[in-house]
Amino acid sequence: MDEGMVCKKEPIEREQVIAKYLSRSLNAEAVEEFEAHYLGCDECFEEMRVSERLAADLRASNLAWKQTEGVAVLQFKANAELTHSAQELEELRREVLEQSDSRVIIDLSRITRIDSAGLGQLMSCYSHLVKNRGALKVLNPTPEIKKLMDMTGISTLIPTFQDEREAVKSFQ
Amino acid sequence: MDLNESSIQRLRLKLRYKVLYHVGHGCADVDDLVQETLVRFFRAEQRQTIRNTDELGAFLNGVCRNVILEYRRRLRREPAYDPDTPIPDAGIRPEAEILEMRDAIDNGLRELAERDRMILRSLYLEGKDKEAICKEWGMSDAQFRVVLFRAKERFRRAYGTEMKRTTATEH
Repeated sequence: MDEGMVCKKEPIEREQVIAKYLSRSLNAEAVEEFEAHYLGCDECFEEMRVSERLAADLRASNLAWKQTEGVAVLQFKANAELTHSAQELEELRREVLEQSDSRVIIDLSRITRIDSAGLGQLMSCYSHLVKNRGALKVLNPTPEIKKLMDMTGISTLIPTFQDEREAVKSFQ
Repeated sequence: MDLNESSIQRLRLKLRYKVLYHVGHGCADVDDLVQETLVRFFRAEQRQTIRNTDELGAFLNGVCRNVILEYRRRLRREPAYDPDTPIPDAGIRPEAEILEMRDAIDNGLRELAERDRMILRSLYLEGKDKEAICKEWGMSDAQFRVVLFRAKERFRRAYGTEMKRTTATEH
């Protein structure tokens, strides 16, 4: 990709470059080239801003609730990270703290990475629910995430399950 | 080079995007980094040391990259408060005014079919290629194009309408 090349691409190809930039899938060299381009190109910058907003909103609507036998299950609709810089972290906090259910399962099957901030957020969700006489369980964490939860002792407070029915049953 | 107030504001906004992309929203020095980049850029312009004025974007990008690198080096040498806190690498997040218009935009997104939303998520959040998405959803290039540009157009409209409304309210 050279200077000016983004503009010369088919709109759909340009959009792919923008999408990869926003999802951080471009390599370092391509990032530099794209940035050098949009700093000098108003049209591509505007396209990038609109796509960025669309992506931000898609990210915000990445969480969905469902009710199973009186238990609220929170699911991620697409792959996400619960890390220091991830927007999903704030969304998770908001979703759990601002809803009225106190028996909650968080389905982590689409969480690809978690760090101390993500584990901290799970703990604050747990504290909030316990204060409201409820409980928090976690469903389908990846082996890496499960290992982290075990190592930090979080899994002694927040039980993990591989099967949703079992997780729901554990509340009874 | 003709740099009036509006073009400088535009450059500032673009640089802000680049800086935020690299240092993240947790960084309190974003505006300082943008300012430092602009100062160096204008200095070079005054001294007429910009060799290829047709590629100002590349020059500005290089200046900004150096400013960010120097900032990272300085942070490593003189950690501000907590040496364990890494420079966050957050993606670009919505600015304050975007959060204000979230309701309008949410309505636009709600109007999209669930399948369209999933396709857009694959593209924008998971970084999948068009080919992979088309294969996954059994759709042609043309269908993919329709989903993508219909969503962007809807979003652009929601954003534009809200901007007009906000401006009208302010006056």
